Amino acid sequence: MTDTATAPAVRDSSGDDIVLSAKGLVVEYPVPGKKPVRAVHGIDIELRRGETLGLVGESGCGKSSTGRALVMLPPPTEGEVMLGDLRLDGLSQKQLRKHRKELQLIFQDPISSLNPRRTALEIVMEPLTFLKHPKPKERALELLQEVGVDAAMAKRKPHQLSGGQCQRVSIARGVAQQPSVIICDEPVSALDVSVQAQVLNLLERMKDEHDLSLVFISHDLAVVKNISDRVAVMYLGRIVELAGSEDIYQHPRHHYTALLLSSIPQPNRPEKLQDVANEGEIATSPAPSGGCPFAARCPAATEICRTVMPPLAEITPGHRVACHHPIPVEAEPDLRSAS
Amino acid sequence: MSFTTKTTSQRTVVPGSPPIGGRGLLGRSRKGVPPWAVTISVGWLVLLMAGALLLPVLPLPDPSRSDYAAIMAPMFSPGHILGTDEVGRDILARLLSGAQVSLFVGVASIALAVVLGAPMGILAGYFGGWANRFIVAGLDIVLSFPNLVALIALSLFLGPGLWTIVVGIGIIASAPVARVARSATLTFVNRDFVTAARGMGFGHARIIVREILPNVVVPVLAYAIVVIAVAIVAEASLSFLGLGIQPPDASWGSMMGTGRAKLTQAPHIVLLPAFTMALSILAINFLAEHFAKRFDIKESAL
Repeated sequence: MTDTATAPAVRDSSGDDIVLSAKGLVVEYPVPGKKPVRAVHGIDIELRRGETLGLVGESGCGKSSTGRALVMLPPPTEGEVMLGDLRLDGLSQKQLRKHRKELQLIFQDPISSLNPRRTALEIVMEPLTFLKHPKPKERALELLQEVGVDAAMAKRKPHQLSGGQCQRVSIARGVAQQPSVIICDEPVSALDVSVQAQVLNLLERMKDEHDLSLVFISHDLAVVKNISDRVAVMYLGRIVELAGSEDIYQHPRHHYTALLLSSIPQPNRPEKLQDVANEGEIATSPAPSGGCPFAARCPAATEICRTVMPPLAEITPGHRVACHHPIPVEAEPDLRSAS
Repeated sequence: MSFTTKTTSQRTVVPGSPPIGGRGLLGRSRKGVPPWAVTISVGWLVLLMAGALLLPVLPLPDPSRSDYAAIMAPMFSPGHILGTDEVGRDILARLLSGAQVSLFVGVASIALAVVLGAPMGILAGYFGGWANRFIVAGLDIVLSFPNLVALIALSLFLGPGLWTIVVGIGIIASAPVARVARSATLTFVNRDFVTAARGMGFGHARIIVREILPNVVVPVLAYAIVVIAVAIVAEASLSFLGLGIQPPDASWGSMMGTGRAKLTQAPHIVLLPAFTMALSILAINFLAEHFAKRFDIKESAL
């Protein structure tokens, strides 16, 4: 189903098929009368075909900016975005529009992401009629059926649907153009927990059935762990750790990842949380030039951390971390002993 | 504490608005116009429209023909139910003839205002930046003009007449219509569904027509109904001053204008058109409020 003309096989060093990648991605937002705010500080990211890449981090760390820049909405300030072997940055809006169908977005706010004046059916038909699908209505009903919205509900407008149903409609609209990549920007954060699981299962199923690759953005580590193949942890606009989902949860090597993991509430863990470093102040301003952005909060920080930015380096196969003093693999099992 | 402060400050935001939780005209609650008022309003306007449309076939005297046998006849005179004016013309026939003028001016000028104003407002709101600044500056210029003075000037320049009024009111009213369209557009242009449409590869034209327009139509039309009432008043004002509809054609404004000399002898010549106009304006305002409430989408319903 995937369009091999626009997204042919491009392989990385490990031989995986890369469907979407970015190099040196920088996103800045203009502030009137001031220096622009830099939300993303030159990150490299690769999405392999058929995988789900989790993107986690606290509010304001640049997860959503990264996600939006990957689909050029808006385009990044600097850096290169490749869809297969097609370079997206530098294309005119008109040229870009032809390739937009390959990249879709699913948003956090279920109400805002759907046109309040349209019925669910019309919303899903819209991308189909745009691509001149021969039977848009039949196909839209089929897609809605697939995401669990029946024909009666398809006649309703967004405010007559629940949050979970709205997200199902969004997913149906997202796959309607048969994209190769869907960027899910906190798709379940606005839903309550029982509905979250249903929508996550639906996303997994749609990914398999429609040959999708997903970028899954969330601040909720538990959610990301379940759905992702690989996880990238972001801190203040940089990727600080990138590894396989199991690997990163079992053996976090960056102190920030360890802090995040220790903050997941677990029912059978002793009451007293072992605070890794939460006395440190949360830095909201751009990182001090030169040093590691996490140095101020890090328990292992030394002089070099405050002056030299550690590069994102592969320390074990498939596990990359940006830290001068990564946590040794053996030394940390006490943190997540319960899991 | 902060909550109380906030409520108090909200009360003072809109000067002249009724106190929060209070009741407006007719004791109606803030939830909307009561159904009976809507029914009466619709009934009155339907009656007026029917009368205006059926005037040629109704068994009434010609509105411009003088009945010299019955000058300034009082109400309920034989042959003249609502009496005659100072030159013996049938007042009921003239009221209906004036209704034709008022309704035509109201609807035609507002149609023009919407056709001119809505696209300007949508473009300003959607594209922002340079287009926005240019259009908003233009609107501010039109809005800062004293409306009646501008209409009088236009009437003297183009010559008085029905089309001068329609064009004048249409241009002047397009500015507030554009503002409403712009503000409605601004509330939707940054919503995720517009971003999603862009992400699906839609061009600006398709996004404006398919995503923005359906959301802007309702507030613009609700506002346009209010402006119909304003347009009717503006036409009456011009005609009252003799700069609008020219004799012998009838208009509510000119009926009041020429009849006011005989106010002491035959007050019904002035009072009947005044009463008809006041009722019509009230009915239109009630309907406008009713539509605005009824089609207001409940986004907080989730």
